[in-house]
Amino acid sequence: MARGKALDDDILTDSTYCILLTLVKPMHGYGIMQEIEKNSKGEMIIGPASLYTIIKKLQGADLIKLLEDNEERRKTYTLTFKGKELLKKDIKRRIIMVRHGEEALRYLEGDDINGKEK
Amino acid sequence: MEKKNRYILNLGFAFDEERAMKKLGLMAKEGWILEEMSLFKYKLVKSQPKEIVYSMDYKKLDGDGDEYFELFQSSGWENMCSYGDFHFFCAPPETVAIYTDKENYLDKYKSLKDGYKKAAIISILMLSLVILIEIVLGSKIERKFIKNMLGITGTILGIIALPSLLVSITYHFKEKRIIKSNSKMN
Repeated sequence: MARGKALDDDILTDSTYCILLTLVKPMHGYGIMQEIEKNSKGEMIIGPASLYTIIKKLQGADLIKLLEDNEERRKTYTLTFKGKELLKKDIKRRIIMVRHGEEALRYLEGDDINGKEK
Repeated sequence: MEKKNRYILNLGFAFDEERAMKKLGLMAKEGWILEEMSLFKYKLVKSQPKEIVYSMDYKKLDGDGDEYFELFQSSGWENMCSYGDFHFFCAPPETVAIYTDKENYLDKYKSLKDGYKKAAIISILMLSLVILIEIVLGSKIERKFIKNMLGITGTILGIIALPSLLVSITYHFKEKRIIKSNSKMN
């Protein structure tokens, strides 16, 4: 469906994951973009068309919502309860993968050292 | 007198989007900047030569365009003009692309395709009905008016059906190409 496979399966794409991460604090669209670039040290950059589309999808899937009575002119978003739960689940899933990755990296780098010693 | 405007032919976004965007970029180098868009042409206006790239997005905005255009603006994409749900932007060459992920880039073409697909299916169904009536009852219809009406309806439906079919097929293959491509998108 138009909602996007990624959201239906409860598995987040990297872009969607980063956007949800950023929204642990209420933020407006452009703020999300800047935060992601800063926090990922430039590894993850999101273009405006992608960001706008993902925000609308997340809103449609009830994972984020507009912040009520905010004084800023710009629309500010925040996570819903459902969004928080999904994000927590995905962070944990990614931590497991990253730990596995770190192990593999140590192994690979250990290999390198051994290679040099020979 | 020096010309103030120039025009580029619009051969249809489905068939011609990439070529047109490239062409607009080349024209900007010579100082011709996109000002307005219509069904058959892009209108350019004389200005300073600029090194820019163009991008087109398709998006139904349901009246809240502010946020959409502001996001583009703050990421360096200036809205040149819009034509219905088609929005044209330009930016300096190094600017981050408007779509950075494949899924949503694909969605742009999918939603375009779906609209044309609907039009194609409905018009082909109705056209089949008209042809069927013509075959089954054709010889029995004596009133010339009704005969003419059938002919006109059939022609109009054909005029709708053929292009919508072509456009949906073109977008279908465009989607396939995007899926296959090894772009840097995440």
